[in-house]
Order: sequence, then C-alpha cells, then structure tokens
Amino acid sequence: MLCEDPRSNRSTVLELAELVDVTIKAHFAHWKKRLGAAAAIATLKFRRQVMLSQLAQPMISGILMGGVYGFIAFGLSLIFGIMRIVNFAHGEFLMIGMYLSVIFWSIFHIDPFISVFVIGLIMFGCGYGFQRIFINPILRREKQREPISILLFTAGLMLFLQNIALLIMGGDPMSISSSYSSLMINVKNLVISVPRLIVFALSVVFSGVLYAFISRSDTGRAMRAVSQDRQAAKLMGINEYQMFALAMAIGLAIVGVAGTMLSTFFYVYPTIGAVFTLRSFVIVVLGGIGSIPGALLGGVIVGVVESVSAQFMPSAYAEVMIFIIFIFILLVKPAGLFGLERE
Amino acid sequence: MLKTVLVLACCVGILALPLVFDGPYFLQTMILIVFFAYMSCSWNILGGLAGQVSLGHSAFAGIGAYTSTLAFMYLGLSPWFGMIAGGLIAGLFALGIGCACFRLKGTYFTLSTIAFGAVLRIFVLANNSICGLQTRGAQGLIVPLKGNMPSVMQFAGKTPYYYLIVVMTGMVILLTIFIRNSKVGYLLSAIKANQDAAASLGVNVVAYKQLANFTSAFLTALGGTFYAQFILYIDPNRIFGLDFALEFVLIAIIGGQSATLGPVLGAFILVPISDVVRAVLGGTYPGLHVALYGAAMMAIIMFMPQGLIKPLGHLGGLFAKQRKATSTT
Repeated sequence: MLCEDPRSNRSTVLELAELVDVTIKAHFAHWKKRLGAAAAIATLKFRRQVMLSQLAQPMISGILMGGVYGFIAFGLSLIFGIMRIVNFAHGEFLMIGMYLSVIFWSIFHIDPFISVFVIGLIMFGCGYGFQRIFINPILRREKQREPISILLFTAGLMLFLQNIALLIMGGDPMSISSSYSSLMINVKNLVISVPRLIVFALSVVFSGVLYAFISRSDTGRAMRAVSQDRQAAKLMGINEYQMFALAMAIGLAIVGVAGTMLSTFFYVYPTIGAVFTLRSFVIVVLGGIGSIPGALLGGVIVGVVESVSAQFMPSAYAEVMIFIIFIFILLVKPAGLFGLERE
Repeated sequence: MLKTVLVLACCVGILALPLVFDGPYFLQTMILIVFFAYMSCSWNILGGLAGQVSLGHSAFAGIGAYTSTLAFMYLGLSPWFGMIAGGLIAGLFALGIGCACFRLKGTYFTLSTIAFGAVLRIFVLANNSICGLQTRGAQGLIVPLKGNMPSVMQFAGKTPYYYLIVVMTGMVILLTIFIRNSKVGYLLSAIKANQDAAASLGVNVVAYKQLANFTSAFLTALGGTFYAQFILYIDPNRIFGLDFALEFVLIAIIGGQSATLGPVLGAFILVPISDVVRAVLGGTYPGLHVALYGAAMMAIIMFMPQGLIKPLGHLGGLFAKQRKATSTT
C-alpha cells in the first residue's frame, strides 16, 4: 500500500516510527515502574538487613568493649568515690599493666591469662605503696581543702609515666600475638572475636566479685562508710588512711588486670592511657561516682555509642559524641544515672 | 623602699636585656619564657585567685589564634583588633563552660574544661573548613607573611616581639595586683578558701567565678594570637592540646600559684631547663624533658605546696608577705 508520493510515504513511515516509539516508551515506562518498585522494595529489604547488621555488629563489639571500659572505670570510681580525688594517671597505670603483660609474654613466655594474676598482685602492691608514700601525706596535710593538688599531682605523674614508658619501651606499638588472638566465632553473619568475648566475661565476673566484696565484707563496709562520712567512720574506729590505701590498691589492681587482658587484642604504646583515662572519667560521671553497676552500665553505653556512631560519622566525631554525653550529663543530672545527690 | 628598688631593677633588667644580649637563639628562648609567664599568669587569675583549676585553657589560646588569623586572612582585619575579637569569643566560650559547670564544685569544673577542650580540638582537627572559612583541619594554618609590618603585628627582628610580650605580661601582672587588692580579689580568695562559707555570707559565688573565668580566658586568647603571630603557624594539635594547657598549670604550680609573681618565676625556671634538656638529651632520650616536668610537678606538690617562690629568699618573701597581709585581713 505504498503511495506514489514519496513525501506522504515518508510521513507514514515517520508516523509509524513515532507510533512504535511511543509504544516502546510506554512499555518501558511501565516496566520501569514495575522494575523500579521491585528494586525499591529489594533495596529497602536489603538496606534494612544492612542496617541491622550494620547496627548489630557494632552493638556487639561496643558491648564487649564497654564491659572492659566499665571495669576500668570501676577502678577510677572506687578511688574517686572513697577519697574524692581524681586520679589522672589511671590510664597510665593501665598502660603499665599492658606493658608488664607484653614483657611477661615476650621474655618469660607466660600467657596473659595466667600472668593476669601476678600482674594484678604487683599492681595491688604498687597501689598500696603509692597511696601510703605519696597521696596520704598530701591528703593529711590538706584535710580542710578540696584535694585539687592531688589532681595536679596525678597529672604530673601522668606526664612522668608516659614519658618514662617512651624512654624505656620506645614509641613503637607492641602487641601479643598468641594462638587465640585472631580467633572468631560466626553467629548469623555476626563476627565475634573470642579474646574480646573472654575478656568481657572476665571483666564482668571480676566486677561482680569486687561488688560482692565491697557490699558484703566488713572491709568493704568500712570502705563505704569512709566514703559516706569520714568523721563518723573515724569515730567507729575505722582507720581512714588504711581504707584509702586499700581503695587505691584495688583500683590499681583492676587496671593491672584490665591492662593485661586488653593486651591480648590491643596494641600498647606510651600514650594509650590517655584514651582510657578520658573514657573512664566520662563513664564515672555518667554512671554516678562510686556506683559499681553505674560504672558497668556507663561503660557499656559509652562502648556502644562509640562503636555505633563510628558507623554513621567520621570516627573523630564518634569521640566528640562521648564528650557530648559527658557534658550533657553534667548539665542535666550531675549525680549520674546511679549516683546519689550529694553535692 | 627595698622592694621598690628591687622591682625597678628587675624591670630595667628585663627591658634592657635585648640591648645587651641579642643572639637570635637567646632572644627566642627569652620570648618563650616570657610568653609562658604571660599564659601562666593569665591562667592564674582563674586558677590561683579563684582556685578553679582549668585544664582546658589551651582551647582559649586556640580560639584566639584561629580568630585573629582567620579574620586577617578573610576580612583583612589586623591581628591587633583580631586579638580583641578572639579574646571576646574565648571569653564567651568560657562563660558557656562556666554556666554548665560552676554550679558544681572544683573537680567537676576541671573535668569539664578537659572535655570542652577535647571537643574543640577534635572539631578543628576533623574539619577542613569551619563556617565556610578554610581552616585546613590537622594541617594547621599558616599566617600570611607580610614582612616587616607593625600594623599587622609582624616584625623583622625578634626584639619587637620580645617587648610586646613583656608589655603584655607586665599588664597582666598589674591587673592581677589590682584584682588582688580590690574587693573582687577578697571575694575570690574567700571563694577559693571555702565556697560554701562564702555563699552563705551572701557572696554571689557563680558571678565572681564567671568574672575571673572571663578575664582569664580573654587574656589567654590574646596570648594565643601572639603565639600565632610569633611562630607564624598554628598547629591545632599543639595549641588545642592538653599538654599545652598542662604547661601553663605546671609553671604556675611550680612557681607558686598564690603569689602574683609565682608563674613568672616558674616560667623563668622551667622553660630554660626543659629547653636545655630537650636540646642536649632530646635526641638520645626522647620524652625525658617532659618526664622531668612531671617529676618536678610531683616533687613541688609533695614538698613545697606553696611553690618555689615561697622559699626563694628575699624577693619571694616580700611578695608572699604582701599576699599574707591581704589574705589575713
């Protein structure tokens, strides 16, 4: 049915082509819509899954790390709660614990989970001596005043220990590579590091034991009495300076133990303590000074916030988040989650 | 009479110093000594007079340095005015911290100053631009070099910098003496001695602490601008760092924080020692000079809580006597 006129012929062809084009376009649009919807649903599902795993994985590692944070902060909280002094060198004692563990491993080939008891004892002795020799005399002298000079003393100690460690051990990060360092278990797409799990469990167990000691034993009661009212405790025949020394000894034993356990999956370098000191302050204020459950819960909160927010923002801001929590708590509830309104 | 003569002699000696010795290394060290004396004296208005220990003062120095330098780069504002702007911003920042923390007692304030300082440091380090201004994150800022232009606080030699920081320090010392002998000074020392007792006597504790806080932050920020103009480079890790803040505190404590000239003495003792140790042993024993700082701080707190100015004989005795006279009345 071709026409004679080439022009009309052309126009028909054009029309035909146009028709085909429109049909194809319509089909495409239709399919595009359907495909788009399907794809959108798929991406949504996929995204939710990713979100879940993106959340669940850091949640778990945050909780595992948070347990250790809580344990470390518990040591600081004990010292803070009983003596009302701020130990700035807390993280540096942790650093010493970690280095001791590395030394025990590399020289005597003792596994950290065995040397943990030895190092705990060593640090216990160090804490007792440290309190008797240095802190108690200052506390005696400045009974009437708020012990700000102890804060500065421990800040000096922090600088001293950091740089002595740099002198002796050098600035390079050190670690322990044992057979179990990189062991993982897989649970439903979630990867859990075995040493972290063990360290978390041990931290919780040790905290529980110490909690029982402080709430049940006579010595623990005496310590709490000193923290509540020094004068009254003194009248009951409690030697407050003895209790201070004991608190410092336990506090340092805790960081010794925590440091040894941390060294199984953490690098150690001279300034590592600062990270943990700042975290511990945040946790102690968050959980409430002197409260053990508060310290553990605060540790878990800080651990989770840190690792979850690192998923969604640059890791530098994750650190800012922790300080923002700290400032927020100071503004809203300075006594902390479990603290008593004392001041 | 003797005191006036001594003070005059010291003033003349310090002012005449560049005329006698003019080696660049010597002047550089002298400028750093006087700079740290200035920063320490500024810190001491809050830490020594009001007894509120802040470990976040490096944040104020950083605010001062960044404000004046950014204003110079983008607005063409001379650092002479930029330093005032930086001081005011730092002061407002300090008032904010004070609002949050002065309801609480000492330790909380110290902890939160650290937190605020750390937040600011991380913020500057992590951002390449702040409010549209290029701050180049961790790379730091380079102050645009203009050569010998006193109108933008840049000089050819080191001597003008020396006189500038000496004048600034002199003004802070005069201000400290003025505050100490004014009603505000008495109220601040009452707050330092016993906050609750002062409050129960009707002293508006928070307001006076805020006043000291603002003044101290303002002066520290001025010092930050000077530091930026002198070094011509701002390293955010250094100027916002906890170490920098600790240095002011250390110097004030070691010199004697309750005496007006304590921080100056501390700077004149500590800065040269650490400079020499760093120069001589820094290569073979890294970190030794900081370890010495720490050990000195511990020893001073243990054995001489009043600082070195107390036992340091005549001059120290005279100033301490004056302090005693003011604090007992």
